[in-house]
Amino acid sequence: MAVARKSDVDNSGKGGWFGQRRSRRRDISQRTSTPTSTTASQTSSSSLPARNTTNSKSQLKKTSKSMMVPSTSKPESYKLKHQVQATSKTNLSSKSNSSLRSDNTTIPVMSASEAMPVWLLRLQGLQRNTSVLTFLLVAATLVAYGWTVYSQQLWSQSYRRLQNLQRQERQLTVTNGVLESKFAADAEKPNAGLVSPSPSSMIFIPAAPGGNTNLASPTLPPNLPTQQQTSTPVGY
Amino acid sequence: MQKFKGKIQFRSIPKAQFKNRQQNSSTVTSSTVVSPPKEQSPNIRFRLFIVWSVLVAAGVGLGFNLYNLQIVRGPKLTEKARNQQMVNLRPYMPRRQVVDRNKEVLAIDRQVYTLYAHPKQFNKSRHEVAEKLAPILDKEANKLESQFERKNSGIVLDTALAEEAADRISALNFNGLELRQKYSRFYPAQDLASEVIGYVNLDRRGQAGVEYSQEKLLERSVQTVRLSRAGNGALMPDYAPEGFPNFDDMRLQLSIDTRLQRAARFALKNQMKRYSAKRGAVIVMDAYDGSLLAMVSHPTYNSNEYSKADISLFRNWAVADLYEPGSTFKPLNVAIALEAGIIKPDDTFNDSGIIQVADRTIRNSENKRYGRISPAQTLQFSSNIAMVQMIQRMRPSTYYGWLERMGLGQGLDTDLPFSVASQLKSQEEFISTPIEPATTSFGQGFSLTPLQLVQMTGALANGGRLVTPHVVKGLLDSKGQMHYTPTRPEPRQIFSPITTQKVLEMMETVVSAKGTGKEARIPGYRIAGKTGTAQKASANGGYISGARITSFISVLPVESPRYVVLALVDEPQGENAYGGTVAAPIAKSVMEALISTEQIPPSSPR
Repeated sequence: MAVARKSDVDNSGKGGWFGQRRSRRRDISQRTSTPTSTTASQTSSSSLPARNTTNSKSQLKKTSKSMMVPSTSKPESYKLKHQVQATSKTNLSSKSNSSLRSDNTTIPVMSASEAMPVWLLRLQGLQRNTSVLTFLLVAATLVAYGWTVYSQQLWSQSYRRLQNLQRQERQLTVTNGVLESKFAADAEKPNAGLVSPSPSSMIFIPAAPGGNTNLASPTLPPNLPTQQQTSTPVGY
Repeated sequence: MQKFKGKIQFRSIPKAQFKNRQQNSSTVTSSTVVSPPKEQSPNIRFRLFIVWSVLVAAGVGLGFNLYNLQIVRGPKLTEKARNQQMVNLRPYMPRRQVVDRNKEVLAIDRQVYTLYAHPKQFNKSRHEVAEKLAPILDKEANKLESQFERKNSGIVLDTALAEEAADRISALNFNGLELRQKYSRFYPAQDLASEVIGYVNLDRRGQAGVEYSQEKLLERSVQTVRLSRAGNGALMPDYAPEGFPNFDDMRLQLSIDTRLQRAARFALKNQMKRYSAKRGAVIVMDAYDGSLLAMVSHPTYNSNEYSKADISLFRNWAVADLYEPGSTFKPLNVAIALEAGIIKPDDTFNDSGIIQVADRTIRNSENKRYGRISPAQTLQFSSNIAMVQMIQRMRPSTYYGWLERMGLGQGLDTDLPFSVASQLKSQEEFISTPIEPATTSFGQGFSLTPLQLVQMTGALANGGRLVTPHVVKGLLDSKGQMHYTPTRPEPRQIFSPITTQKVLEMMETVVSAKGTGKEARIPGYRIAGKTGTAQKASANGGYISGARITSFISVLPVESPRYVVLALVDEPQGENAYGGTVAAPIAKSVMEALISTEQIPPSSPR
């Protein structure tokens, strides 16, 4: 196939394991086993579980030199894409690619998808759920953080306002007191023209008799305002 | 591959591999395919190992650094961070305000600042700093500059800088100027109620008056609070303790009425100036519960400038000094006699102008004689001889018991500080020498404080109970709710109400046209009073000739007695210096003011 050719060219050109990775990502179906495909497939199938336990990052380390590129049929290989990335390090199998194509159909490398381990599925599902949960928690954390900072800001502002108000209250009280004492001291001076209140200048109005309520009640309301009006001058 | 057979120079190892491959191109063997990776893998392996080891070494280094920072230098670093981020606050918790009966402020704390200058930290020239500070501090610029020259740090420029000036100085944003906050007590009324309130010294401790005796109620413990500070200087409530900005705005309320206090002081000052007296006092007490409405003593000091005052003024002499009451004690003796049942209101006594007791002769003042007089007339004319006769009807031991029951010889329970106990001769001496009961009958031979006399006369006013004269009403919050009232001892009943009313009616004759207290008459009001002109005892026995202490005590109004007014003038000079002429007018002015402030209706409609 033409694609295979391309990958061939790529492989030959690069060497090293970056080219190998790229080729791996590009078209997994083109992965073919080496001439020692039977042993390779067996090792690969046995090494697949082993590989699954290691992280995808372990591809960076040269763990096993004997790992071969498994030959897979297309549908299964797509499912196991991320595990397959941790495949063999042998990159100089460019030559072997062309020669291995003939062995593609005869070698069942990967087990069928129905036989994928249940715990793996569950783990996958768990990972999905927990990642959703993590996302929600992070969002909640950000909200809480924002709220905290905002409430702290509000508090500082209110506290500053409180301090200002307290200071104003103090100043008002002090000024009030000083003014009053000054007025009183001035009033005592002989040239102020003021006299202290004496009983002779006070008017005492006896309380209205509470005995005749029937007569008083209709007349009380009109009486009250007049009494209040007359009593205010007395207070002076 | 076949093309490049011999043309390109490879390195030795790959070359061999390619060579091998070309040789085995037709047959694909595992060995040929496997071996190149095997030969290349040690190289890659080695490089991978190096990278791994570098990373691991970096990780280990980080681990070490972490240990170093967190555990080894941890405490020091947290200390440093705390110093930078957190600030020690002394939250606004000043000494409590003192307010009077009408919630007028008598004492308040103000925030003042002490200004320090550290010239070595100035980032502007000293001249410029002095120029800028001079108008704010109200000093001359070159004086300030010379102050800066003297020391390099820690120069005190102003000790009591007001808040507005401090704001202006901090707005200048100069380096090297430090403002330290502190509280300073301010008394708006200045010298009006200093004998009651007292003052607070530089250590913020009350030294006299209510500030001293109610220190526990006034001073609040301030715990310094550590708050963390945000980057822009704003405070954050993270570490604030529970109830941090507390709204405990309770004030100490006194029962003093500043209007009455002012009127009393005015009257006392004028009269004292007229008679060139040494000192004087006016006390107004509400006999119902013992609260003092006015307590004036002259001369007095300005609480804001207490350091300029004579130190003897800090003791309120109306509370802390003893004096012989003289004739103002006669009503109490009459009450004792009536209560003991030895006299009746219509009894008569023969005042012949002279009486002999043991080896002493007793006369009336101005050697007058009044003939046959009733107890009411005894008070009206203030006859000593009739009083002696009255008391001589009683056994000395009984009389002594009565005096003790009234509180003579004991201290007075009051919330003004430095009160002293009255003095009475010992029981044996009192009983054995007949002259003692005789002199006690007209108020000489023992001594008490003016406040105690007011307390005893209060018993005549409120139906026979000895109340506790006090100034402190309690702790009042801003909404007018009283929170804490100090517990006072229960009033003791010593007379019966019938007796006290009879005595008051007798005293009413004093404040009449013919009585000694005629100066204290107020038209329309029934006033009961008694004048007193007592000789002053000298330290080495006997009496100082020419030195008198004049007093006038009154109860107002007689039909429902409530208020007791005492006016005292010590050592008035002049011929006509008696209780009736010196002290009674003061009492009249005070009672007029009392009628106005307390709105006492007249006894009889005019």
